[in-house]
Parts: sequence; C-alpha cells; structure tokens
Amino acid sequence: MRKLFLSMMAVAALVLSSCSSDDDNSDNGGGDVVIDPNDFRGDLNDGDNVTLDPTLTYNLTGALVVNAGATLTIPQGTRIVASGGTSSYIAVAQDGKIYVNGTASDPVVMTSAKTSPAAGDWGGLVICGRANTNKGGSGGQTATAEVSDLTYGGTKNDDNSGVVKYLRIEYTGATFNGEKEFNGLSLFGVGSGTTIEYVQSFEGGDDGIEFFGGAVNGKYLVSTNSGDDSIDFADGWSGTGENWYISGGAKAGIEGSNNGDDGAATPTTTATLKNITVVGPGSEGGIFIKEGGGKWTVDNFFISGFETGINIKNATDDPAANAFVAAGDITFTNVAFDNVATQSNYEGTESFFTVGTATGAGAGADVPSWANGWTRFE
Amino acid sequence: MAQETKGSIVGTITDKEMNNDPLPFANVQIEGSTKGTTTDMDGLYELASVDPGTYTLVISFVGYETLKVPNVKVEAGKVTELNTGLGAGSVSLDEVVVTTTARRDSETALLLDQKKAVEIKTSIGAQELSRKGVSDVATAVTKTTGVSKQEGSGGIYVRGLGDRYNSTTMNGLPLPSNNPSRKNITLDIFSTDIVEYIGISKTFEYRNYGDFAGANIDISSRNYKGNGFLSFKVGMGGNTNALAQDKFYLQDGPNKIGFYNPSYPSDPLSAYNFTTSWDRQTSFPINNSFGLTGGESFDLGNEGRLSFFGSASFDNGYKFREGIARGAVSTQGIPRKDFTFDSYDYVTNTTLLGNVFYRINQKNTLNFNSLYINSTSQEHEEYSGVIDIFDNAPEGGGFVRRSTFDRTSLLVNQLLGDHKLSEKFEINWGLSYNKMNNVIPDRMQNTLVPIDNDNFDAGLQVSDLATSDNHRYYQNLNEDEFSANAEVSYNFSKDEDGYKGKATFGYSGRYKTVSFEATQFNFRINRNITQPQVFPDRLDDYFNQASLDAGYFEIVTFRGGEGTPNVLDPQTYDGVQLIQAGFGALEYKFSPKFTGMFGVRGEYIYQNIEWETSLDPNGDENDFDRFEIMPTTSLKYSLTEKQNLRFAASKTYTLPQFKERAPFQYEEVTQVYFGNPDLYPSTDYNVDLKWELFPTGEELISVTGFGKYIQNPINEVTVASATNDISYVNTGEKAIGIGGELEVRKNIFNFSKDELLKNNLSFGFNASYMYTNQDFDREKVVEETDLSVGFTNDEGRLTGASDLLINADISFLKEFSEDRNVQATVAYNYFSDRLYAIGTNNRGNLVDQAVGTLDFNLNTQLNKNIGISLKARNLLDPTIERIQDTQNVVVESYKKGLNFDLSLTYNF
Repeated sequence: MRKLFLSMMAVAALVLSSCSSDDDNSDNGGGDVVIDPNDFRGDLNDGDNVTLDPTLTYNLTGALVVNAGATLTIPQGTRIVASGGTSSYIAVAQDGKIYVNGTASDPVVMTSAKTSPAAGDWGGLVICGRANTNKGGSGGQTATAEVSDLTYGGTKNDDNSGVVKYLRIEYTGATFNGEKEFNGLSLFGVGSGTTIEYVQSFEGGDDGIEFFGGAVNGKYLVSTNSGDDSIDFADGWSGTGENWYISGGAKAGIEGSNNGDDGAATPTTTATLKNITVVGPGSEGGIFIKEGGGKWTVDNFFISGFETGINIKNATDDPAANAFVAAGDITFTNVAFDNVATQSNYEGTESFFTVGTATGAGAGADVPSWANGWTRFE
Repeated sequence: MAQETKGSIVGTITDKEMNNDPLPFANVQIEGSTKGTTTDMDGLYELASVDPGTYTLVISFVGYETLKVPNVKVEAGKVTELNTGLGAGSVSLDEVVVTTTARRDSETALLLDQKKAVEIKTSIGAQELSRKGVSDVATAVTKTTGVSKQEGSGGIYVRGLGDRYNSTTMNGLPLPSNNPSRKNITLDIFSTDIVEYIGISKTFEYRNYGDFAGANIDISSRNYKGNGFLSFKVGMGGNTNALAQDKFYLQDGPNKIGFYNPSYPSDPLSAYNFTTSWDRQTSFPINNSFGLTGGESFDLGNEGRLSFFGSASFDNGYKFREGIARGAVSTQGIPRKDFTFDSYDYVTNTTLLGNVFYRINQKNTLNFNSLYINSTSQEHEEYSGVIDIFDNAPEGGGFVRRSTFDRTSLLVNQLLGDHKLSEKFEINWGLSYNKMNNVIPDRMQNTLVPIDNDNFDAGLQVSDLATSDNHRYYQNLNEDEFSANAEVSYNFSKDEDGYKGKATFGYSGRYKTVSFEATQFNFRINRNITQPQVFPDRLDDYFNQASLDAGYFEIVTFRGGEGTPNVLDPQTYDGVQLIQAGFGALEYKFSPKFTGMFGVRGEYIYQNIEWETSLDPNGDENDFDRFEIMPTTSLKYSLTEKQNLRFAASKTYTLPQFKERAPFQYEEVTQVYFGNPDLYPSTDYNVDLKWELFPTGEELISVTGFGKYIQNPINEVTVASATNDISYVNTGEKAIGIGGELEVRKNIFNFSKDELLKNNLSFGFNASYMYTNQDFDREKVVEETDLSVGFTNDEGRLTGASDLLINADISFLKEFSEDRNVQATVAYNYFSDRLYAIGTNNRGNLVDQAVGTLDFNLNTQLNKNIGISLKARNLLDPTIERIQDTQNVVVESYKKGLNFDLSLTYNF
C-alpha cells in the first residue's frame, strides 16, 4: 500500500516518498482468514467463520477481535495461552459471535503463557452487544468500551452475541494505563439472547466478571481471588444473576451500581440475584451498593468472612443509592451472615434486608457441587 | 522590508495658537533636499525611506514662524520621532522633542503602519510592552483587543477561539509546538527582550497558512542597525505566596539552571536502580534575572553594512498555590475526588538570540536570525483528601504527590532575503529550520491511602488500586520543521501619486516531522502481602531495593513486568506533515480613498501518523490529504484623512492535530485521551468590519464587528465510556461567533504647557463583547465516528470564549531631561466567565469564573546609563475558580499571590 505522492503545487514539485495511504489496513475482507496457533491474533471480519482445533494450544500474542458478521467457535478442551501482556485479549464486537463450547469435564481455558503465571499477565475476554446501557444516555445511545475502544449499547435487549459455556479465564487484568485494567470477562451491553453460564475468573488483576449495562443473564458464575471486585454490574444492567460462587476477592464480593456520573441515570440498573455466596476477605464488603445502586431484588444470599456484609455509603456521598433503599427498591431476603462484624452500614432507618436461612450458591460458604470439575481454586 | 536599509522620521506637529491641537497641512521638509511632506488632519507626518545621516528639518506653515531643527539623526531601520508645536511666535529648539527608536518599537510608528495597511492589523511594540511591564509574549498578546489567556495552560484564545484556530510565526515563518497536545508553542517562553513587535492578524492574510480562524501571532524578533551598544540587566523578585512558605519544596533531581535530562536507569525492572530521591527537597524562593544585550554595525564598501545584534538572558521564578481541587463531580453534585492541594512551581528560561543583518546594497538585504530557548518548569504538587469516594481513601485521608519537570529546548534558524530588482519588482524570501525538543524526565507520582479508613491515626500505606498509582515517567517529543516562503511583487499603473496597483505571487511550504516516546515505570503493589506504614516525607524508606526484595512491589511498564517481550519499548507515535501552498493577490487603489486587496491561496495538506502502543504493539498508521482553496479580500475606504472603514472576508480551515487523529491512548496523570481517526477539518468563514479614527499620531479609536461561522467544529469531549475518556470529535453542524471590539488610545491630560519635556497622562482601553454558540449533535457523532457522546446540552458557547474581555491602562510619563524620566503604568485586565469543558452525561459544563487583574509598573531612567524598573503584578490577587455549572460545585479554587520584580539596567 505504498505509493508516491506528487504535490499538486506547480510552484515547487516536491516529491515525498514512502507515505502509506491507509485508513483501515486491518480490514482484510471476509472468508480468507488464516489462523496461526503460534501467533494467534488479528481481526475476524464479516463472513469469517473460525473454529479452533481443540488438539492445539493457541498462543494469543495480541488482540483477537471478532468483528461484526464474524464467528469464533471454541470447542471443548481448547486451551488459549496469552503472552504479550496488555495487548493480548479477545474481543467480540457488536454483531460478532462467540461460541465457547466447553463442558463440565472439559472446559475451555484461557490463561497466561507464563511458567509462573500471575494476575495481570494478559487482558481478558470482552464481549460487546447492542443491549441498553445508561452510560450513553437514557435512550439507548451507544458508548465506547473502555478496554478495546469498541462500540457497545443500543436498544436491542434481546441481542445475541453467542454462547459462553464452561469457560475458565485465568490471570487476566493487564493494565494498560492508570485508569484501565482488563476484567476477566467484560460484558458490554450484551443482550439476553446471549448465554453466559459456567464461567470462572481465576486470579484476575481487576474485577473478575463485570456487566456494563446490557440485559444478559449470568448463571453459574465463579469468581476467585480477584484483585478488585469479584463480580460487578453497572450502567443500567437489567438481568438475573443466579448461582454465583465468589471467594477470595480483594475488594467487594459483589459490586452493583447504577451510573458513576449520574446515580439517578435511566434506564436504572435492575438486578435480580438469587442463590449467591460471597466468601471474604474483601475490604469493601460482601456486597457494595454503589454509585446509585439501582433496583435490586436479592434472595438466598450467603455472606461469609467480611467486616461489613452489605456496604452502602451515606446519603451525602451517595444520595441516589440511599433513595433507592429508602424507597424499597433494593431488598434482600433470606440473607445469612457468617463471620460478619457489621451486617450493614446503612445509615437510614428502613430495614431493607431480612436475615434467614440461606444456602447461597448451594453449599453455604463451601464450593457448590455445580462448580466441581471445571473450576480451580488454587 | 523597504525601510530596513533606510530610516524614517515621523511625528506630530501641534498648533501653539490653537491650544496645541494637531496642525494639519504643515510642511515638513528636509533642508537641501526635495524630500518633504505635509501633515495630515491629525498633524501627523512621515518621511519614509530616508538615507541614514544627519539632517536639518524645516517645518513651516503659512503665517507661522518657520522652525529649523538641526542635527536630526536618521538611522537605518529606525524611526526618529520629532514632535513639536508651531506658532506665530518663535519656537525654541528646546521645545522640540526628538526620540529615536527601532522602527517597530515605536507605538506611533506601529499606529501609522496600522493606518496605512490595507489589511486589518494590530501590533504591540517593545515600547508599549516596556511601559506596561510585560515580560513575556503570552501576556503581551492579552494586552490587545479580544485576546485572553487560559490559566495554567498558557493557551491563547482570540475572540473565543482557542489553540487550534490560531497560528504562531516568527518573522513570518512557522514555529513548532512544544506540547504534543497543542498546535501552538506556549508563548510564555518568549521573553519580550527579544521582541521588536508582535503582530496580531485577526483576519486571514494570503501569506499565512490557511489553518486559521482566530489569529496569526507573528513575533518579529529584534535586530539592531545602529552603532555599537551594550546593555546589562540584573533583577530580583518574588511571589508573596512562595515567600510566605516556611519551606519551599521541589522534587529531587533537576538543577536550578534548567539543563537537565536524565534517562531512566539501564536495568529499571529487575532491581531498584533509580538514583533520584522520592523525597522532596527544599529551595529558597527568590527570583533572579540576568540579561546582556548588544549590537554593532560595520560599513562594508560604499553601500554595504553588516549589523549584529545579540541577546542572552536567564531568569527564574518561584510560585506557590494552595486551594481546592475536585474531580468527577456527579449529576447529584458529589465530587468523586475531593482534595486540598499545595503546589510549588519553579520555572527557568534561558534565551539566546543572534541576528546578523547584511545590507548588500540599497536593493538587496539578507537577514539571519538564530534563537535558542531553554524553558523549564518544575511542579511539585501535593493533594490531600478523598481520592475516590467509592474506592480509594473514600472517607478522606488520601495523599497524592506528583512532581513534574518539563523542559522545552527550541532552536530556530531563519534566513530572510529582500531584493528590489527594479522599481516595479521586488522579491522576498525566507527559509527556516526549527528544532524543538520537549522532555519530561523522571516524573514521579505517589499515592498513599489510610491503612484504616475509619482511623487515620493508623497511618498511611501505598495505594494498590491502580498499577500507576506510584510511578515514574519519561517522555520525549521531537519536532523538526523546514519551511520556506518566497514572494514576488510587481507594481503597476503608475500615476503622480505612485503605483496604484500591486500584484503578488508566492509559494510557501513546510515539512514537519514529529516523534513522541513515553515510558512509564509503575510500582505495582503486592496485594497479597501486608504492606508497611509509609510516611509521606520519607518515601525513600519504602521505595528501595529492600522493599523490592521483600516483595512489597514489582516494577512494571504498561507492557508488563520483567520478562514480557519488548517490555521496555516506549509507546510511540511519529507524524509527518507537509503543506505546500501557492498564493496570489491583487491590490489596487481604485480611488485615492478606496483600496482593495483580493487574494487567493491554495494549499495541499498531507498528514501521516504511525503509532505503537502497549494496546497496539504491532503499530498502525493513518493518513489523509486535502486540497483547500481559500479566497480572501480586504477593502479599505478612507472616510476622511483621520478615519478609515475596513472590511475583510475570508474562507479558511481548521485541521485536526496529529494526536487527535491517532487512535493512540495518551495518558495524563488523571485523564486518558485517545485520538479519533474519523476526525476531519472544519471549514471557517470569517468576516470583519472595522471603523478607525486616528485623532492624533499617538491616539486611536476603533470599533470592529466580526462574525465567524465554523462548519463541523472540533471539540475535545468526554466520550460515553466506563472510564470517561476524552477524545476529539466534530461535535455539531456549526459554531458561530459574533462580536464587537472597541479600542481607545488617548492622551487625556498634558501637564506640560511649554512642551519642553513630556509630562502627560495617557489612557488605553480595549474591550470585546462576543456572542458565541455551537450546537452539539449526538446523532452526527454516532453517524460519523465509532464514538458516542452524551452531551448534557444541545448547544453551548465556544470553549474558552468569554463574553466580555476588557483591558485598560493609565500611564503617567514625566521627563526631567533628555535622559532622566519616570513612567508609571497601571494596567487592568478582565475576562468574564468562560467555558472550560463541555458537560456530558447530565453533568454541567466546567466554567472558569470571571477574573480581574491589576498590575503596576514603574520605569525610571536615572541618567544616560542607569535605568530601574519595578513591576508589581496581580495586585488584587483574585481567587481563581472553576465551577461545574448546573450542579454548582467548585472544582478548582486557589490564589496566585502577588509578584514583585525589581531590575536594574546599565547601558555602557
């Protein structure tokens, strides 16, 4: 794509060489993509339909982006190892599709290529859909994903980005600047047509799994030893979380917020959570109602080993979240506090949680049976 | 250029019989020659193109006694100002005031130029700058109508149009920028010591590059063509805020003279090898300045003359600010970051200017300028409070310290030539090579948080929230530019008054390369270990080899830690810009009163940028080219000899900057910026209408109306993203600016009756009132880019535009003898509220609050050799405040303190 340039000026015909005119040299067209397992990266474009070979180990050396109209299928047992630090990540753009077809006995694993791996060794998995987020505005406007600069959001709440089942994501959370770290699994505006089940983030440097708006449900999620929050939902996420097992995170077990710039932004985060276990430690509580919070219905919630069980800042610092609690829009039923010093630091008078018997994810503080086989805890 | 080899005599003749009103139609003649003129309605005259020498000037008027003034010296390139009264009785020669100044220094000469030019121009010369005690070019331009300066950044706004709409040149040739985010160089770094005059063109001139909508600021550098002189200046001063501190703190490393640029240690990751201390060092905040200026000229043969001028200076300054800094204020009005801060600032400036002027003969001259500036700033800032209300030090008690040493070295070399081939033909040309290097070596940042958020007595520990909370950073920006101008002019249609027409054709071109490199070393704190208590004043106790060995932290770059491939490769971008332009213009005097200029300029623009970052390690590139045709016209109609009516209209464009188009993450300490490859140039339409009145040679009253229409304006905005990053987009269909400017320069009182020596009070005032508006169109942004912006409002003002700008000054001058005088000036500057950043996501705009500043300046010449100057600036010491409107939260607030400077000049 090199070309010579002739100046249009007759006065001085200055010749300038080696200026490549190339605004979109990553767009290679569809259908002819070549995957090199030893140098696994690049763009899958419209029409590309790539299925990985589970007998091979894919060395992720840079960004792999599944663009609109492309499909990436990862069969059970496939192993993707990432080197290249921050630049290694997998992202699915709007209208791209990913199928992670792991099984309980043979999950798909995405991990660090290092011999002694650590949190932050590589980026993570990012999926961008067309479902609503209040980050762009109240009318289904789009926003830009923080880690991949891809567009997300819209009005299509039943959008389908594919199926992710039995996936273990390890040692993610590379930092690429002061504000930004990859989560293990980042779900930006992902729609309810997408299936997210049986996913574990292990030793992620930042949050384990985060929902940035969207309407996708998350079932059978495990987040272990996260460097920040374990599972996070924000920016108008509207969905159901069922059977989450969280342990060993550094900050909040679950962090839920409405919008960091505008705690009262609409559409409001509307979360239904049930059968959840959070095991400490963690400096920001078992669950942190943050940045406006939203509307939550939480049932069968087991909190173990935190100084504060349900954390919420006071009404001066977070008026919107306190208003939601006071209005009865955030309720917890059947909460079990195990080894928790303060059940909640809510300063209002309303009682918004009721203590009861709770099995949480299935076995109280212990690993539930559904999490056996495909996960790891050390 | 024509005057460079010759001198001129200008002045005002007043009528002693009519209360010293201006005397029109008086004859001013050089004795023994045919050279003469008559004064105009303002009593104003100019004898241009006078060969250097000593003359007797004969001034006469029917019925009045003729006055002969002997020994009037005319020097090449200088203007001799001769003012006198004339009356029925005899006039003593003592009453005649003769002063000689470099041509462009003189306020009178500049006014004359302004009056004569077809184009609309404003200039501020060395004389006026000295009178107002202005020491840098940035402050200088704010003394002219409709120009303001943004606090902190040094950015200049002209009629509400910021950096991207303006351009900066020196002697008509482009200057590089010293900041990767900016188009224009920071004007603060130019000392007025090297300035002959500053020309501010607020209308488009075909000679200038078309990337213009606000103003072109041209610094005309000093030269000297007279006999030898040498002058030495020494000064000292201080800032009241800085002097009030028990101890003045700065970071370890940089020296006091500003020549410092360490690179990072050779093995920065595997072991702790940084040699500079994290702990702050103390300084004594007394400002100093030294300057040496000299010139000499030699005759070469019959016609030739070689002149040298040189200037060397060093000055430094200490400042201290304390106040409030808040960030990320939510729609509910809750600041996410909430700090009090102390900021210690130390700047240096070393300037060397050399000029060689060679007059080959009466028709040919060459002029070589070389300018070197080393400008540095050291800022040590300490923030205490809430780092993030939901995350880090959420109850307060957090501590962030940042130390930045920023150094710009600029080398400008220019060769200019002027050749009069015949009476009709003249050629001007210029070549320049500029080299700019900006480095930020060893920026240090620390973030400490309470060990226990509920009990601050437990002390602090290092923050582990973000990897870059504790870091050291190294940045290097190089910009090199070659540029060339050539212009041929041809005079035609001669009649008894001279040539009526002038045709001009020319070429200008510039080729610029930019390269940027940055490496950051993050101290990634180990979250799986109990961290020790850390003391803010003893950071070296923690950041050392022992702590690295103990596993408290590891040292990583954004690419990763030790062992990551290419871990030490800097993040880079490299840019190339080529602009080639051809222009032509026709100037014609349709009648003695009406002159028109019609020009057109065509430009070919090519930009390419390549980058390689941690996020995009394979790199990528992006380029664009464009051809722009820009018509321009200036019309001048002389209503009377005292009054002109002027009109100017042009079409121009505004280019995106390199950085703005590169999808490259550019990180400032608290904010991430990334470029937008879908960004494209704006198109600008400019119209000006001006009425001006010159009551006398030293006085001016003018009223200007202007209109700007900008299609697809570019703005810096917060993109809808989880981390609120900033990018650049064409935010709407249009922006408009409509305004009026008023300028008055008037002598208000003359105490002296006999005119022996000046003893007067003069007054200057300029004001501009502007209405600006632009629309914000989210749909347009979504359609044209991959980005989304949640504008809070559908429309707003232009960023940086104050509705009202005012400058006023009163000056008192008393002359005791030819070389003993005292001059005192009080100058006031005011700008009304102005938009700093466009609000998004239902949050209000950030607005800088109105500020009025008052400066006092006293200059006195004690004798032929010694002059003393006292400057007292910022006497009102107003609170500088930025608020987020709608929520009405103060996001920044501080005072700058008063500055005093005393300097002594000795002329040998």
